[in-house]
Amino acid sequence: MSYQPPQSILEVLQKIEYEEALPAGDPRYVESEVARGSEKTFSRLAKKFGWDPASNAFFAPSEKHVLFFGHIGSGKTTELRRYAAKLNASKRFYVVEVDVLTKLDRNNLAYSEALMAMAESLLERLQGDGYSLTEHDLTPLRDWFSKAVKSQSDSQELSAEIKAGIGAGGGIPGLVKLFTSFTAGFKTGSQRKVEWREEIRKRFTTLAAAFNELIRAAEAALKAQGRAERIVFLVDGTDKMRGEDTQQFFVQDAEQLLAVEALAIYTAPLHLKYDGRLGGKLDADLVLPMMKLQNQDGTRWDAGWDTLQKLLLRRVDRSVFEVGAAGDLQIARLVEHCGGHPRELLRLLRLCCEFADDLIDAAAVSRAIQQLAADYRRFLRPDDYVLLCQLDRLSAHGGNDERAQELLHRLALMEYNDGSWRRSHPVVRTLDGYKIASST
Amino acid sequence: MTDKSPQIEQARLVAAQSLPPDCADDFQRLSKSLVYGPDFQWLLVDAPDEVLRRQVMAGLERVLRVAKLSSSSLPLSDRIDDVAELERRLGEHARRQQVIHVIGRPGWFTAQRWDVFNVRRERIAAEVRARLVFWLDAEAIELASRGAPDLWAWRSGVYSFLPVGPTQTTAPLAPQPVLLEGSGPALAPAEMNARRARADEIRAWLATEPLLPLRAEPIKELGYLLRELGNDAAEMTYWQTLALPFFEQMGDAESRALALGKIAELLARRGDGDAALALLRSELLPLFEQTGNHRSRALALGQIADILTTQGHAAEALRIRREEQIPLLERLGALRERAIALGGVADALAQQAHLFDALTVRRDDELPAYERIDDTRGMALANFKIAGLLAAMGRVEEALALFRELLAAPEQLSGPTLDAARSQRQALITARLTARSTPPPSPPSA
Repeated sequence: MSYQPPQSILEVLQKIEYEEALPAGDPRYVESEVARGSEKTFSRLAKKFGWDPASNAFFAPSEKHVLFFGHIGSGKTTELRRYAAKLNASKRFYVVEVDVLTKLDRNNLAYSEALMAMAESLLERLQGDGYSLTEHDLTPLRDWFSKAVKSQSDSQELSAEIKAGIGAGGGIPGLVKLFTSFTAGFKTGSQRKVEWREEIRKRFTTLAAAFNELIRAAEAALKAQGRAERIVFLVDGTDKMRGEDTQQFFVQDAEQLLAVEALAIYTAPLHLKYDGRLGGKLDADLVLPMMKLQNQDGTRWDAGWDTLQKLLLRRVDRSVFEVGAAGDLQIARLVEHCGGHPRELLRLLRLCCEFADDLIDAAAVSRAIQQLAADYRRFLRPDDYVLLCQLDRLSAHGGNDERAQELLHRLALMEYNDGSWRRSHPVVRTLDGYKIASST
Repeated sequence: MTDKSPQIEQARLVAAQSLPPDCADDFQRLSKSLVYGPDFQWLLVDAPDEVLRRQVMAGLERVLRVAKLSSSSLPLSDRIDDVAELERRLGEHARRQQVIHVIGRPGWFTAQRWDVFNVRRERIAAEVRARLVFWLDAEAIELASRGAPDLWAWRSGVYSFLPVGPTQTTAPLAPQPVLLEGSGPALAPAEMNARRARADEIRAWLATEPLLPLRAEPIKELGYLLRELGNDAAEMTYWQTLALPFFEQMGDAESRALALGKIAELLARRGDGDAALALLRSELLPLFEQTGNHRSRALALGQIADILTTQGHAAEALRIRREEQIPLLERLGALRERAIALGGVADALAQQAHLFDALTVRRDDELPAYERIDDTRGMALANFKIAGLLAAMGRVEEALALFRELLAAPEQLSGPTLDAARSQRQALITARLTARSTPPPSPPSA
């Protein structure tokens, strides 16, 4: 059955969810590579993992940890799901998605829990797909847990949980139960979390080695069945950690992540790329660009307009706008004022639905733009406007100081083409503060 | 719910009518999202004025009742120590309610608490499946937008209910028009900058400690400038720490009363209605009685009645209007103030759901009172209110005719009232069309 976008304003309003990442195959998905100028992003990612999609040549590195940057709400998760589908389809890779937001406590997340969640997700995926590993393959991890439990003599409750996990049975299902009880404990108990972090820190080398053995065994099993040659971990949600945890995870503890001999991709907040502390340990040059409406030289980028219009019209039926050129004009105004950011486009659409009665007309669009601009006015300071004007006047990149990073983080400033140039959010340019700054 | 219900649309319209005109648009947006939007939403409301917030919440409650959506309030009191406790209580409320109003308290949401709320947001969204309406002030919202950008990006909507100068029935406390005029039309940025510069200039001059008598006029001018700049906090600081002590030092009783009246007005606007009432009753009324300033006393009574009405104490407000304020204004021959007070009577009656009585007062008392003094803007505003009452009573055609008449002479209405009249007329037309397209209920079988 063909997909029908919502045909009434109230239906649109009911169905808009900003946080929803689209699963592969969702009819609302619109291909955006050309619009973003990111046709090569997937290819670059694949090559980092040793695969050339064009020639199907393949030679994977022993380990590669890639950060995937992007604006908040720019579609990182949606795009990664598409990438995962392509990597899976290549038969070169077996992609294991790890959503740290659902598995762990984002409030306080460290490499130790992330590593456990990666192992758990791998075992769950193998179990779900019907693969089995020998007890020999699983023994190193099981042994690590047994020794850890013995050394945790003070934590009787946790020991009991883990012991129950160990006693749950052999094979992958038994180990999955063990990990599940472990990560559940990590999610809820702060004292246990501290104790186990310390335990993992003390015995990390053994744990990493055990995990690596598990990965190698799983890859051998997958290869034997012609399914894939390497496992790729897609760790999502790590772009949403709190500030200090982000630094700890990607900067201070980068060595621990690198101890896992795997191919992995982590979502990361855009500002991390520019604060200069990453230090080259992790691969940090992959950015999901915004869809652009113009090129750096100011010429119109039709692909961006077309894609965003399609994206909009998958969320709202064309009949909700006025017929003919009048409606087309309002659609174009919405696209223009989102600056190429999908969530901002949806936010404008929602505002239109709040303002409009039955049809989204020029008045509703104008008020939606004003309202979204008012949201930005709440936090922009006079010197922010001055900086935005300065950056808008530059044809190239204007440098990275803390203020520019903050504006990027808050979407007042948008970055295009892998970060090579930037422009202020179009709704910000409608504000008096911007106009005053630009006239001086 | 994805189909419009005539009953709900009618309820939204009526509730919007009961609010100050500036609030109608955001009320319509907020009520629409609550009724028709997704089950989970995080809605931020900038509503620093407690009185106005209660008015808006009361209006929403009426709409939600018609829409059959249950709601509850969760004030951020001292008993909620941290965000973990807030999350726990949200979970409890969400088991029974579809809409949860979290009533903020100035200073509760610090940057650190927003940070903690941010990291819990996915869990809250997963486990608290309700429309969460956070009633905050601009400061708290700014903290969220600056300190937690990804949380800010998660917002479903932001709405503002801000009082703009005295309400229709709130009159100045003392004859000092230069200080007490409404804020008027919004100033252009250049004008705002000029006023800021002048305010800075006056402050700098006052810092040189000039002779006391020389300070009076600049101090008054500074108050006027701050009022125009619309910064309530700065204005409150000015009245409390500069103007009031100065007038006391100078022995200027009239100006001191003016300062106290302004402080009461600002207290009410920032949501501290009880403190405002206490100041008016314990300080100002006795002062005006003592000095024999009957006019100011009458206006202070009107201010008290306004606050009581918006606090939901309509009966007491009516008593003050009818037994104290209006007779006093009649004795003084204050015709315009009497007309305004009659509007206050109608507001209180409408709040008690005595719509017919409210309509009678508007038509038979208030309108003639404005006609008598040839106040065309007052008449237009009264007619705007009458149209709203007619709509609320289901007399749609009469309401539409009156809106048409009002919109034919738009210069008589202020900008926000004009916008409200346009949107309410449009909503009425839509509701009428929707009602016509809805088939009538089947007759009961014999």
